[in-house]
Amino acid sequence: MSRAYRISVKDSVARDIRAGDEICTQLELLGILSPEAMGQLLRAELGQRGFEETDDGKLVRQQGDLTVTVDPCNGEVSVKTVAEKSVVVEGEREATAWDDVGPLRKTIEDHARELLAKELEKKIQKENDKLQEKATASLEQHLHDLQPELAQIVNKVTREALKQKAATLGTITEIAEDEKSGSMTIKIEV
Amino acid sequence: MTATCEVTRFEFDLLRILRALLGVIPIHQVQSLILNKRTPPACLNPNAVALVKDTLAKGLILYLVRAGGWRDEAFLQKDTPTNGRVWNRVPLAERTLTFSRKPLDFLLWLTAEHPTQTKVEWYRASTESTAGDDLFFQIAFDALRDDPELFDAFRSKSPFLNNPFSWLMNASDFATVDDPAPPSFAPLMTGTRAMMLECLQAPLTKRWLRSETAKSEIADWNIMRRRGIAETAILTQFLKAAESANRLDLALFPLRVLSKLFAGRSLEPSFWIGGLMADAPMRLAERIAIQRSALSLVQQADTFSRWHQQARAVGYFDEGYAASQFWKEAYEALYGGATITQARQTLAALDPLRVSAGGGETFP
Repeated sequence: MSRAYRISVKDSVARDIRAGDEICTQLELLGILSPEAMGQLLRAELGQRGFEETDDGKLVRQQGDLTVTVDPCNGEVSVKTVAEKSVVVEGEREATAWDDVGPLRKTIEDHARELLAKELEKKIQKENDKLQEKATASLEQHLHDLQPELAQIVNKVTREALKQKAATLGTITEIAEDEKSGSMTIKIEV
Repeated sequence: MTATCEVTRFEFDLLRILRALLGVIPIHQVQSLILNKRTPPACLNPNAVALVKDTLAKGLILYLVRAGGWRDEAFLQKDTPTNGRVWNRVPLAERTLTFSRKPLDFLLWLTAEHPTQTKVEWYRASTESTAGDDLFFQIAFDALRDDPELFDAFRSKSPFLNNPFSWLMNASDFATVDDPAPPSFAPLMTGTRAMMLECLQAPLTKRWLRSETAKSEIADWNIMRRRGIAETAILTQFLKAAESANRLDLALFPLRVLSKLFAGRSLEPSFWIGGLMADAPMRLAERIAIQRSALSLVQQADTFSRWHQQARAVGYFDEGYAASQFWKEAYEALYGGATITQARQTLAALDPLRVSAGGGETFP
């Protein structure tokens, strides 16, 4: 008489997963001064806002999972988020065999193990998708905060450039600035 | 008195298929002839060959004249704007159509074989296509593409796949792979093909305009991505070829489409991408890339703006003055300045971080 044997297979997978998102844009600065001079002003302004210069001349600021990189030579901005996580997924699968030893049992066990591996891979992929969603949501959130800051930077650099340009045209007698409206009046004596 | 000549049943069917491909009779009238398999004769009668030649030559000329050759327009002839209808402004040598054996081989095959079931090939890769061949195959492809099976059977064949007219006229047909490889557009800028392209400006404008306005009906992100990639590849290479050959007049149709699209109004990106539904790519970077590529034509605004600036810099005594004046006139007639500004605003709306100090020249 045959008896059914339950074969149980257990496995776990540990993996470091990583997800990220990035968008790039261009700061459009007016060509009031030479590109080098505009780049210098941008570099100075970014320096005051916590950006650090890297070996390739770009300015980088790291805030948690967010990295903002600005190339002062051409105004290129890259905003990047990276999320990392170590995940451990476990699973168990059961199969039935009519023999507790022999090739049939081995075949059934291998098949169960194969199915379990696929199942675990799917779980890891799910975790990866979750992490990707988190990274993208984080990037979208940061963009809301970053957009006004970049606008302020462009505004400040433009004002500084205008002041320098005015100084080359004559003697500045009066400068009236309105931070709120962003307007600036420069009087010069030629 | 009407001269008559005898042809066999097979030849009669072949001539009917040819007339249908050229739009003389409706294509559905020959659908069964195309899908029937029969034994071809060892060779065609001289009468039949003469009729094929005559039908081809007259059919293509009629097509070109109807497409735009009849219009009294100006195009560049040796860097000089020349007015008139196509037969008045283009020298006879450049508007004489010649054909290789390819169209006849194709017609024999189409009459004898079932196009979707046969394994018999009809085209000879070694022989070079003439301008007449290219236009014929484009027209034939246009006539056959409404049948999905025939469309699939022909799309990957060399005379269609390597035909620059097909890519320009039906760009979306080639949006099936991630890295489309359009053929070189340089041959379209000289000789008979340039004359054909002059005649095709109006249909090209109409087709691209229709394609742009229908983009909002695309719901699938992947389809939009492939479409954008294909169109960007076509437009970039086409405009580059026109610039290299100093034939900016042949590249006016994309600017004409932009001008008709914007027509003094601002358009939101949703005009193109408003139909994209759920199942968007997870990454923001990917979503923005697809949205940008959907606006492939709008992205060419910078090229037109650059051409205009270059034209403005050409002085009276400089080489190419007449051609630059021609471009400036055409650009202004199409409200190029306003159109380009609107196009840039639309593109800017796609950038979630767009920061600008205002109008004017930017650095570097």
